[in-house]
Amino acid sequence: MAYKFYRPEDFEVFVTKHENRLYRTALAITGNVSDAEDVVQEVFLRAYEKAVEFESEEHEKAWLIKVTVNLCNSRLRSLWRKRTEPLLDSYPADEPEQHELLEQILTLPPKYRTVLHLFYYEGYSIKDISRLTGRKESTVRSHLTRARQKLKSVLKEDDYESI
Amino acid sequence: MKAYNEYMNKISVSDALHQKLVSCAINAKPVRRPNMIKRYSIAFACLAAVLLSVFAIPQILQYDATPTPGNNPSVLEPGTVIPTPGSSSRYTLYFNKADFQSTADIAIKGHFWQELTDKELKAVFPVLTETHKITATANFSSDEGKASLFNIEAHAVSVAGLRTYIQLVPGEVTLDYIFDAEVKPSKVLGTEVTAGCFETEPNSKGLRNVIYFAYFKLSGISYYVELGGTEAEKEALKDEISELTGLLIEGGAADLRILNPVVPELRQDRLNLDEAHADADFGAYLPTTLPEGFVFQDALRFIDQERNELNVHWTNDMGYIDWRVSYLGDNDKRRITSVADRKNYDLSLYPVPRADSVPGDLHEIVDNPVFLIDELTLDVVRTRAYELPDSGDQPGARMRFGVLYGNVLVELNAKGATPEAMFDMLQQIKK
Repeated sequence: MAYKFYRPEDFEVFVTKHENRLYRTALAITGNVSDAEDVVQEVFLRAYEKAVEFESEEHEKAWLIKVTVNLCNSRLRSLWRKRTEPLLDSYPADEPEQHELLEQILTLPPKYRTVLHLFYYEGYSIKDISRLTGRKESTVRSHLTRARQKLKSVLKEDDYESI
Repeated sequence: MKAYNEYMNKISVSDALHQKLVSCAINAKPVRRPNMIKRYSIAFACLAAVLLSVFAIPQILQYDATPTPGNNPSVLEPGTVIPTPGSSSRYTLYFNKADFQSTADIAIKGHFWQELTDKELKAVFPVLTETHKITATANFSSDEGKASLFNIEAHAVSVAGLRTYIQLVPGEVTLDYIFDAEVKPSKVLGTEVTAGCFETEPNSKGLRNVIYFAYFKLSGISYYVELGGTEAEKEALKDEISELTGLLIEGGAADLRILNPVVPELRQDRLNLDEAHADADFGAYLPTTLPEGFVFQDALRFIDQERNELNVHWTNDMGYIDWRVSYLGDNDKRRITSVADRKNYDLSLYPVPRADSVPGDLHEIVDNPVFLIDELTLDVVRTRAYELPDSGDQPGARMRFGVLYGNVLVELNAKGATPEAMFDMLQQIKK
C-alpha cells in the first residue's frame, strides 16, 4: 500500500482515518492539548513528505503510532516545552469515576502513560509496545506493573489484575 | 480501564485541527512550524521581559515605600494590589494568575531522609513554630557516604486547620510541578516575594479548586509555600498564605547547620542470577529450578530506609514470575492467614470484579495473602490461580500471594506458570 497523496482528497481520507487515534495517543502521552496538536500535525507532515510505502494496514497504523510516540518523547524532553493546559481541564470527565481514574493516570510519568494507553486503549501486546517504543519487553512489563501499582487504589480488581 | 477507554473515545480532533492537518496536502509546500523560530520567539520574549523589568520595575518600585495602613509590609504596585477586605493577615501579597501547570520527574541520587526534631524545627522555622504545628522532612542526596541537603519539605497547620506545604532549598527550589505566571512581585519586610494562584476548571461535580503559592529567597535559601482548597475558601487561603509567608520572612533564614545527616545503608544493585543466589540475606530464598520455558530477566537488590529486598524476574514470552524476598514488616503481618480461613484467600469464593464481591475489610488480605510455609499445600496454591480473558495478552494462570519462612517473606506474582510448578518452586526453599 503506497500513499503518494497525488490528490489532496487522498490525503484527507488518510488524515480522517488516523487523526483521532493519533491525537488520543499524543494526548495520553503529553497530557495536554497544545502539545498533542503540534505532535499530530508533525506526524502527518512527515507522512506526507516521506510518502511512506506501507506494507499493510497494520504497518501503516504502527508507523504512525511509532512516529507519534517518538515525537511526544522528543517534545517532553525539550527544555522549550511550553507550559500548557492540562488534559482534564480541556476535556473534563463526565463521571466522577472517570475523573478520579484520569487524575491518577495523569499524575503518572509519561513513560507509564504511554504503555497504559497502548496496552489498554490501542490493545497492543507487550511485545508490540516494545517495538513501538523501542524499550525492552521487560521494561514495558515493568512500566505496566508499576503503573498498575500506582493505580491500584482507583482501579477495579478486574482491570488491574489483567495487566 | 473501561472508564479510561470511554473517556478517550469521546475525544476527537476539532474541525480547526482537522483543517490544519489536511492543509499539508492542500498547500503544495506545507508550512512547517519551525521549532527554531518558536524557540527564539520565546527567547526574545524572555529578553524583552527582562529588559522591561530592568527599565520599568525601578520606576514602579519608587512608589513601593508606602506601608499598608497600620502594618509593616508593603505592596509592590500601588493601585494594582487590593488588600482583601476583612483580611486578618498583616501581610499582603499580589497573587499573579497562573494558567498552566506541568509535571516533571525528580530523581534524588542516593536519596535518604530524616524527620526534623523539635529542636531542628525551631532552628529551621524560628517564628512559625510559635504559631503553627509543623512537621518536616529533610531530604538528602548521598554519594559514597557523603550527604548533602536536597531540600526540606514541611507542612504547617494553622489554628484554623489550614495545611500549607513549604519547601526550602539551599539554592533553587525543585518541584515536581510548577506554575507559570506573569510575574509581579510583592515586597514583604523588604524581601521580594513572587506569589500566584492557579484555578482549576470545574470538575465533573462542578467544583473548582484554587491553589495559592509564593516563593522568595532568604540569605541564599529558596522558599516555596503552597496552599490549596476549594473556591469557597479563597479568602481564608489568601490570608493564611500571606500570613505564613510573612512569618517565615520575619523569622529569617533557616539555620541549616543544625542538621546532622547520617547516611544509612543504601543499595540499588542490578545482579545477575548467580549474584542473586549468592546474596547473603535472601539468596537462599530463591528457587533453583524454574518451570520450563522461563528464563531469567533481571534481579535487583534494593535497600533504603523503608525497604530491604531482593527482586528477581523471570519471563516466558508473555508469562512472568516476579519473586520478591524481604524481611517480614509490620504492615505485612496483617496479611498473614491460616489456611483454615479460606475466606481470606480462596479466590473461587469471589467472582470478578472482586472490588464488588470481596468484603471491604478482607480486600487487602484476599488481594495478597501470606501463608506459613508449614501450612502451604498444593490445594491452597490452586485457590490462588485464576485466568482472565485479555485481548492484548496470552492466556495463562495468574496468581499472587506470599509465603513466610520464619521472618523472611517470599512474595510472588506470576502469570503463565501452573499452580503445581509454583508449589514446587516454593518447596525447593529450605525451611
